[in-house]
Amino acid sequence: MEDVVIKAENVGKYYRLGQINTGMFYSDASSWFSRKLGKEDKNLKVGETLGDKSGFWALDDINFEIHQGDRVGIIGRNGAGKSTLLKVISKVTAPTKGRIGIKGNVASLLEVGTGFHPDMTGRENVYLNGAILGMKRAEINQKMDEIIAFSEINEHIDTPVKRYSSGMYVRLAFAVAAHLDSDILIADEVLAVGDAEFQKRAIGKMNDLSHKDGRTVIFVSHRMNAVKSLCKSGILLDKGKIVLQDDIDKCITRYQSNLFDKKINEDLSHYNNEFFDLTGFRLVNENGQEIDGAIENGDKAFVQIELDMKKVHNAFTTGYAIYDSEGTLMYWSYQTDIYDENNNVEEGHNVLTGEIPSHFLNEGEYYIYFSASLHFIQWFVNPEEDSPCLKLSIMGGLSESPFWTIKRPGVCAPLLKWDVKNK
Amino acid sequence: MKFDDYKWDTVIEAKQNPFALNIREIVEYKDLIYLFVKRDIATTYKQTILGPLWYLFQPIFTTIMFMVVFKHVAALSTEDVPPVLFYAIGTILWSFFSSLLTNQARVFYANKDIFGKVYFPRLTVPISLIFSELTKFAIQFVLFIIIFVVYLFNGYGAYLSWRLLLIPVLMIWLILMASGLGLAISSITTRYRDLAKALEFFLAMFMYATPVVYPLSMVSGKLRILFELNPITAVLECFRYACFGVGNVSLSTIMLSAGCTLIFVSLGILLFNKNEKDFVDVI
Repeated sequence: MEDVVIKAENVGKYYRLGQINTGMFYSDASSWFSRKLGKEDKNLKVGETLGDKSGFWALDDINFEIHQGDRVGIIGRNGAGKSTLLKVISKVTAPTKGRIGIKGNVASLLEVGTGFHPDMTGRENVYLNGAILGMKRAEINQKMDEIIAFSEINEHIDTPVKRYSSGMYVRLAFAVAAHLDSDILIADEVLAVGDAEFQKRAIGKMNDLSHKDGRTVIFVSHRMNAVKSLCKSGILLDKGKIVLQDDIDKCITRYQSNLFDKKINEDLSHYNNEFFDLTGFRLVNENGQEIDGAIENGDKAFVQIELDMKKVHNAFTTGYAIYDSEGTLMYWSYQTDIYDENNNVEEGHNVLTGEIPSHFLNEGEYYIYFSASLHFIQWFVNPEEDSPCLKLSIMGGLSESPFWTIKRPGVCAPLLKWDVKNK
Repeated sequence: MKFDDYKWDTVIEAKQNPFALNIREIVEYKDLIYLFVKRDIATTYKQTILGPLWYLFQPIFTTIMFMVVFKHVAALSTEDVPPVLFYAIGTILWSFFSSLLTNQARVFYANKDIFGKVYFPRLTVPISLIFSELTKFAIQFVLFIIIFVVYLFNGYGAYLSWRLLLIPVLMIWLILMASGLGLAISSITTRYRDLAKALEFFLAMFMYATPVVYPLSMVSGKLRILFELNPITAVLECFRYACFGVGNVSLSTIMLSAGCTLIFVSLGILLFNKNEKDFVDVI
């Protein structure tokens, strides 16, 4: 094919783990000497040697071709290497090995508003930000009105941006980025900003750019809906390797089927910390017996958390977050949601049981993540990051009603009372 | 088709020529350099009372201070040059040098946020720093010229000649030395941040080891050799020669300083290139 615009060949990116150095010249020098002399490095942990634990390949042997006008979605779990790949393609960081050829100029929106200076006015920042992204001044002059109109900043354009609301700030920043003239557009989660109304317009704009102008677009997002609507083909990454390169629907299906597998039934001691040991995280039924996670729509199920508290703190909050199979958060629930003096977690063994409402979630698969924190102070286990997971499948239709034995559309499927009066 | 059969506009590779300077790309980004300079100057004095007058405040008060301490208390020679002029040019040049050097030495750390997010030729930032500092220097130099002219009208007998043409050359020399050294250091400050602080302190000390507030002619004996080894000495002495026609710097000192500058610049470019590729992962 003649129209290849990006070709990656054996691209790899190696990161050293943890601290790059000990931060002090003396210790670095002594580590270096120890290595040279073949002695044990006292700055490493006992038994640790450089080479085995000191790094990992964030990208490993990546090969792909992207053609003119392609709209490619890059998907994968956190840490799969998506952002690293974008950074390498957009030249923010160099690959450790391999090479990438690019035809045409690349504009990358790894984060909107890069280089905005709070003391400068909106207009001045448009010039600066535009220039950072590679626009010429004449180009910006020409597009200024369009940018101002799109951002809806209007008369505030000559006010320093530090007086802007965060919404205005983001709108202006996106407007600049969206008006870049480039052959290839690389975007990383830029749409995850602003209010819903603006997000809609942002996706619309991205769609215009790719569909109407035939621009090549590479897009990374966790929001499968956005990826689906924008992209035609996909690259699925896992642990720095390409798992699948196909059309976007296949990639998304594959991604979702793999998404939650790994964390279920893992070793809980991994989450122990100075405040508590997590000794149990399971689903139980009304009688307190553990269940395997498959229930009928009308069954009662409970999330049970067992904690051995080593320290107590009155801001201690624990509970769970529940996501659907697309990764959309359903709700969070905490033991502190309803204030009750008898519900305090105390030193020693604690068993907390929280109800999952029956007749509330729709038929489908759900993933429940453990959560614990000192409220507004510190996370112990953040459900959005690294957290143990339980799988819950809700089967059966809406209710016993003969009308509704099949799955109802929508996220929730509550059974609500109706009052019907007959004259 | 094989990789090499395509006509790529850009090829991203792990290894690059360590001395590469993509001048064409930098010229393409000249608007960005202009905007960086404008930002640096405009934002330094936003929400201040005196605004850009601060540029003049600093040399004026330093000069007065030097007058009191070095002329009246210590009674150091200024080689027939009116002390005001002698100290003014000394402090203007030194502050240009030290401020350019410290800013270059911090270039990665100070710009880590934008460097980590978007690509543009990294060298635009050090270049814009040069122009920002030059702007500040130009304003201060105009003040110096005004005082100079006032002295001329009041009977100061310095005659103007071709020597003044040396000034642009000397400025380029000073810029290359400060930037080269600064960029070489910048690659280390990404790892050891206290080095930037140490540098500031060191430069404040080093001013007294450089003929800024006294002429080189006052230094004699074995100490003189050390002073002549100091690469900034030659520039300062030459500058005073260009302005006032005084100073006695030997050709060997000049050659040595030029040699040092060449080394600093090569080292600066080498380390800057090496660093810009992956400092994002280090900082």
